[in-house]
Amino acid sequence: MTRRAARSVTPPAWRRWMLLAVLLALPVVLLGRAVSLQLVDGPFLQGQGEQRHLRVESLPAHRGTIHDRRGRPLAISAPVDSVWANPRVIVQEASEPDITALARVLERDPAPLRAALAERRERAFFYLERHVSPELAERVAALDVPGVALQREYRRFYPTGEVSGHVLGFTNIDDHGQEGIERAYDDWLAGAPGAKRVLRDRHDRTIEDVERLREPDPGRDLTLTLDKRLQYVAYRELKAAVERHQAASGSIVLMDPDSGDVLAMANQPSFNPNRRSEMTGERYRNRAVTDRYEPGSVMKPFTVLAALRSGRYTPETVVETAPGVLQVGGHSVRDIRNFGELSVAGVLRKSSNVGAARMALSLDSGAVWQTLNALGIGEPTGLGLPGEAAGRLSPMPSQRPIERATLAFGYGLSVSTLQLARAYSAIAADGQLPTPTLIADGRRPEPRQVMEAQRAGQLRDMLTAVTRPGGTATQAAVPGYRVAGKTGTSRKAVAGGYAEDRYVSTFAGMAPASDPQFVAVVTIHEPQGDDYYAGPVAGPVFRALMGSALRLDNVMPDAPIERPALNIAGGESP
Amino acid sequence: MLALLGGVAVGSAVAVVEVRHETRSLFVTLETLRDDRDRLDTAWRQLQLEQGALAMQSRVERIARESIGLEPIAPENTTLIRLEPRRERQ
Repeated sequence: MTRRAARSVTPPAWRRWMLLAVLLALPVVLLGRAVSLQLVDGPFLQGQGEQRHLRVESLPAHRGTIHDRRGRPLAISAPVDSVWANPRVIVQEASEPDITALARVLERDPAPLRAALAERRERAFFYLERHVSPELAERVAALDVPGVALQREYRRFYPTGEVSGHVLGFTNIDDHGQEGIERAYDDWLAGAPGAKRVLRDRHDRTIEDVERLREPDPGRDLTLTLDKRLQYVAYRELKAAVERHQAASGSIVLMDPDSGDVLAMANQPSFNPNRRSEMTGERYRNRAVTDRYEPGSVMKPFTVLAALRSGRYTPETVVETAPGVLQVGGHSVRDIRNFGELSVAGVLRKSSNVGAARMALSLDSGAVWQTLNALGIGEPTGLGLPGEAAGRLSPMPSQRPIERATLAFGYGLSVSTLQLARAYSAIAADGQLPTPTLIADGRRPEPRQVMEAQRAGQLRDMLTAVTRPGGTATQAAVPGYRVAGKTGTSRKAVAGGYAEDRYVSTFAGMAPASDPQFVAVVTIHEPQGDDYYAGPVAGPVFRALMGSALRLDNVMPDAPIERPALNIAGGESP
Repeated sequence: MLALLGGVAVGSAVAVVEVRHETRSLFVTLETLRDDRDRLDTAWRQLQLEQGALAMQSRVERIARESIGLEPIAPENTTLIRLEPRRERQ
């Protein structure tokens, strides 16, 4: 042990030098490596690093689907691709043929495209084409131009097209609701996009998903009260009638009077929500809700209601309408001819202005006004669609005889088609005034009792005469059923009075009269030709829609059996 | 004692690596499944649209009228069967 220690006391000198050299070489190597990374290869490495970078990518969330009351889709969001470019990359790296090929696929001129890209060369994002077809997206991807990529977006499709365009409305290219249900329920339908962190290469292609920062939150679905089949019938019949009479416009509303569910709502002119280019305010306005007009005779049942309530009239009370003209405060109220003595029911059947005015003038000065006010005329219905018209009813009952007289036959106030449907629903639902709704499972305010159930029944009985032979709207009769309704042919108010040749034809009615399941109102503006009366213009539209609704819902016919319209079998099938 | 702690430290380091790896591979699986889900959802929406286009009322009506010769039910060819409520129940 001691001998070995003694031998190693003096190590050879070269070992010390070598150790020193190795130790000195280490920092030199490190320094050299640093120089090579920072100075020699620096730009190259930095470029590579930038190209493989972490990015936060947004994950689009789709909008909720809109269904009809039976779950059939009315509006669906489907994924589409948008082509975008990173001008900074494309300007530097894409070759001339690349851009020419890209322009050809996108069906654009290469020169303006190149100019547009050059102009934005400092920017990192530029849409080339939004919402392209899947085939086009594939062709763009196949070109593999550096700096050009696809982005997933959602586009709204409306399978029913024009048929339910007004109710649904539409969205803009960024998927925000612009009209109708799409706008009113935008918050409910819209989804919140998610985000994920991804690793991308220099062509901005995602190489690897790193982590999810936020899940996309898709929009919620919405079920409407519309019935797709009835909506189609409403659309088809209204369109045919507007064309047949070369009318300016038209609206139709079909409602369930007990719940206030709007089963169909259509307007003409209409638009296809799938094609944004067609859209002008003139076309996409939901006239049934936004347009108000003076309804005319269709308001007479409410005058009769006020008269019955006063206790001075019964349906059989005789009203003198001869000679067919009534002078009220310097104005004259006219009937189309002299009807002579009419019962109260007859005033409705023949639609006598003189009779209605006489009755109204014999009542307390506010009686008719109060009846109309209780029916929600002059206030929005609460449907919830954008742009709803409140209609107009004077804020206080007028004391002037001429105004009381004109109110009795539907002038001096204005309503929307929807408001009329709501007011008639009260007659149909034994006096309960419903709040119209388009949302199937929404909360419904309690209906308001606005007339006695017995009076509503009396009105329905009187109104069935309108569609029977001798009434003003035999065209609205549905075979097999008792139909209660009322026509209205009013002149349009223009500057300085009422137009001589511009009419609004309305039919409002319900069926079956003994226990109404449906209320429908048809309004047609400015029908041309000699047939401008509501019976022949609006009646057939009502008949077709109501007939379909009753048949599709298997409503039991309530017409007396002796009518030869139906074969009646006994308890067993034939 | 020191050896024991060292062993535990090494063991935990290995476990961390193992868990990391597992997280990565599970994340990849998850992303693949999500992609599958998105693809199926896309396909489903496309099919719904296609169905919507094929089931367009106007198209169905045209085919019913022209190809099959159907027509709307008219009152003349309707037979109404009234069932007595009591008899119905038996």
